[in-house]
Order: sequence, then C-alpha cells, then structure tokens
Amino acid sequence: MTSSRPRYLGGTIGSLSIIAIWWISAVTLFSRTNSEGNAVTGAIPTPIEVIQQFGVDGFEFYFKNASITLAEAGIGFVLGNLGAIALAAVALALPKFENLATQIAVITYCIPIVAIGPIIRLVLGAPGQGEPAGAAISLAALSVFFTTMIGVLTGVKSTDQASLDVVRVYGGSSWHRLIKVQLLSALPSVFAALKIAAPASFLGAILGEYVGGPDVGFGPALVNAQQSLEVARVWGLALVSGAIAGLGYFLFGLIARKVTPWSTANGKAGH
Amino acid sequence: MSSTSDATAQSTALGSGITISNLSKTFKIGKEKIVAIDNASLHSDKGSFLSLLGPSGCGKSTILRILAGLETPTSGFATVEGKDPQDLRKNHELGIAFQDSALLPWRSVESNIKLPLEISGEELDPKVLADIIKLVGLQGFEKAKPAQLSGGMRQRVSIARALIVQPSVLLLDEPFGALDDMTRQRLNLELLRIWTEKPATTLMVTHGISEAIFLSDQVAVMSARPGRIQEIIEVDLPRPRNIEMMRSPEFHTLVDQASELLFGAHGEIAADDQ
Repeated sequence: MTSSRPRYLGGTIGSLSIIAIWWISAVTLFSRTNSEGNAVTGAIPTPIEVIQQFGVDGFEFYFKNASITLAEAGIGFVLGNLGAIALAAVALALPKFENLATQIAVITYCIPIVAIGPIIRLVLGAPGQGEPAGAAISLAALSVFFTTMIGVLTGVKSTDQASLDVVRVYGGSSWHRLIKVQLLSALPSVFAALKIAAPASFLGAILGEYVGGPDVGFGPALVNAQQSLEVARVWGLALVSGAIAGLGYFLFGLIARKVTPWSTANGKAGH
Repeated sequence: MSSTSDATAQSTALGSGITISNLSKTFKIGKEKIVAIDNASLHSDKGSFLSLLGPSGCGKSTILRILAGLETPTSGFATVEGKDPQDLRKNHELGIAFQDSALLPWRSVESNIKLPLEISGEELDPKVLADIIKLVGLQGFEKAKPAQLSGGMRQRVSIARALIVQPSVLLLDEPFGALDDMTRQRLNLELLRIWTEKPATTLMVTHGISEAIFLSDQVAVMSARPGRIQEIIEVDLPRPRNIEMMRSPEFHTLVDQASELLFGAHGEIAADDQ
C-alpha cells in the first residue's frame, strides 16, 4: 500500500501536467486571431474542444472504426506471434538455423513498414466494403514478429543452468528439461515481449490501413478527419488509439502477473 | 589416522561406496589446457560420509560433477557401488544439492521436492513426502514458493528433494556455502541429524575445514593447480556426533592437521585463493 501510493500520485501529477501544458500551449503558442480579431485555436485544439468533438461524433463512430482496426490488429497479433514462436522453436531445435532465423526476424524489424505496405496491398488487393484490410493484418503481424521471437529465444536461453543440471542428475531427458524447466522459465520473457507486441500490433494495423484501403477503421477515419480539417476529431482519434494501445500493454501486464507471479514476487519470510 | 591416496586406491573394492580411480580431467579454454583434476583416487565405504576439502580451483566440484554425470573424465573412472554415473542417473539413484538451491520458482516447496519423482515416474507415497518435509523442518511451508523462503530454508528444500529419491549416493556441492555463518552452522547440525536418520553414501564438497571434520568419516584434502588429492584424513570421532565434540581436543587435532595440509607446507595456496 505504502509503495503504490507515491506511484499513483506521480502518475496523476504527470497526466495533469501534460494536460495543463497541452491546454496552455493550445490557447497561447498555437492560437491565431481570425479576421475579426478574435482569438481562435489553430493546430492544437483545447481539451474542451476534443471532449465536445467526442460528443458530436458519438460512441457509434468510435466503436465502428475501432472494431475493424482491432480485428486487424488481433488477427495480425495472433498470426505474427504464432509465426515468431514457430521460428524460435526451429531455431532452438536446430541450432544450425539459429543465425538464419534471427536474421529473418531482424529483417522484419528493419524493413520500413510504410514501404512494404503498398507491396502487400498490391499482392492482397483491396478489401471489400467494411472488411478488415489484408495489408493492415500483415503489418500488424510484422510489427510483433521480432519482439516475440527474440523474447522466446532469450527466455528459453536464460534458463538457470543449475536447474537444468538438477533435472539431468535426476535422470531427466532433454524433453523433461524442456517441459519442466525451460518453457516455464521462458514465460516471463515471452510475456514481456507480448506486452510490447499488443500495442505494436494495433499501431501496425493503423499504419496498414493508411495504405491498405479499407473504408472503415482508425486509419481511414484519421485521414478523412485530417483532410477535412477536423482538427479536434484528429486529436480525438489519436488519443483513443493511444488509449487502446496502452490498454493492450496493460492487459498483457495483468495476464503476465497472473500467469507468472514468481517473476514479480519478491516477498521473503524469515528463517 | 591418515593414509595416502595410493593406499586407499589399493583397498578399492568395486561394489561398495564411492570409488574414484586415477581420475583426471583437462579443460580446454581456447588454446590453453587446464588440468582440473590430476590422477585422483579415492574410496569410501557404503553409507559413509566423505568430504572433499580444498581451496577454490582444486577440482573438488569437478569430481562431484563427474560423479553426477554432468562432466566426463578425461581419463580414469568414478563409480558408486560399481555403477558408473550414467547408469546411476538412468536408474534415478542420485541425489544432489548445489550451493545455489536451484529450485523452480513457480513450484511450491512440496512440488519442488516431488520433481525427481515426476521425472522418474515413480509413485509418490504422501506419507514419505510428509516425513521428508518434517525431517528437514519445513512443516507449514509446504505450499510456500521459493521466493517466500530464506536462503537457509531453500537449501533445506533442496536437500529434501535430494532425499526423496532415496539415493544410493548423496552429492552435496557446498550446500551451505552461500549462507551466513550462523545459518551455516545451524544447518550443518541439521544435516548431521538428517544424515543420521537417513544414512546415505555421501560426497560433500566444501572449503569449510571444521564442517568437513565435523560431518565426515573421511576428509580428502586437495590442493590446487593441478587439482590433486594431497591426503585423506580418517575422522575417528565416534557417532552419533554432537556439537560438544567440536570443543574436544581430538576434533581440534584433526582441524589442525587439515589446516596444516592446506596452508602449512603450501602457503602459496592460501595466498593464491585470495
């Protein structure tokens, strides 16, 4: 209790100061005067304006767009992670291929996602009306591949050597070492990777929508709002997508704490 | 009171206790060859407590790891009751405790102790488990996770895990080496009690002179670079032993003898170890 209070306080103070800076700069630095000489906001809307815009756009607007983008991110997240885990398994089972596998992962990380988007769009074609875009799914999958693969590899490799020795001395085979020790001790590292992968897949999906051509989703909604100079709506969409990405991170943190309590537990009893 | 390693090697009888015969181990680090063990021979009787005592780098842990089947000797052999380490491992006859308790952090105390039986596929008698937990003094902590235990308690779990398989040989690699001195003393007394109740052929590796004498029937004093067995001290203190014996003149004579072997004639070893 005592240790969580300052953290909670710090977070609140931090968020409040960011909102304050936002608000102040919206009405000072970035304000303009219109032809009648009245001050109006320009590039940055005030928090009030963004909240008003939420009211105008309504829940339905956000729900409709979020459900498509989340679907793309979700499918991409699953496919990307399955691929990464499969490749990591190959690298671990056949050490000869480890370098190659790691290079493949590095390539997925290094390719500019914006450059590969149009290629995927050409290969997969445009999505139907109201359907998730293949390019968005692909970019979401690509965004999670590297972190998850490296997370699995480091997790399995960082297994405590003495624990493996113990299983060996008690007559355990390499199969025993894998299922009794290595897989479980890799979990914290895998979850750390998934925690990063969750928001990454969502942001990858939005990027994919820019080029993938769906008619619904956060990507097209952002582009439309930008083109029609609906500044407050652009901000609203940006804030909501940031919040969804953050929520994904938080959710996997929560799951990790439930599934691998030992990696965070540090309470010790006396003798 | 003492005999040379050669004499002991002569008396080797396969089929009882621990036998180490002309054991050598060379490690290659880059182009350099490092002789970890140089022609070591040892024998202990079934059910006896043997300690390897020496400075770090004398190869004592390597001997233990060879007996555990974790390293292979460059030449010579090590057996327990005539069986080589690979067979012992396959038959689930080894019990081991390392300096690092090497418990699985996601398993409870009980579940950690059961691990060797899960591997061997043996049926677990709940009464045996309860007895072992009582023997090492962990009642009430069955469901605790390692992170909730102190270092000393974790070592107790590790020893319980070694005993659950009813091993033909118990291997202890500086089991209390990472603990503070007071806990260490107490656990040595505990180990003596546990060992008296569940006697097993034991090999302990240590750099604690008095704990080696106090617990063992035989203490093999080793020297470093290359790792050699200098002399084997037969500890003729009567059993059961108790803490009063640590104050007896016989005990001190033995400790002095071991100290002399370690530091007396070869003062450079002590300096080396710093």
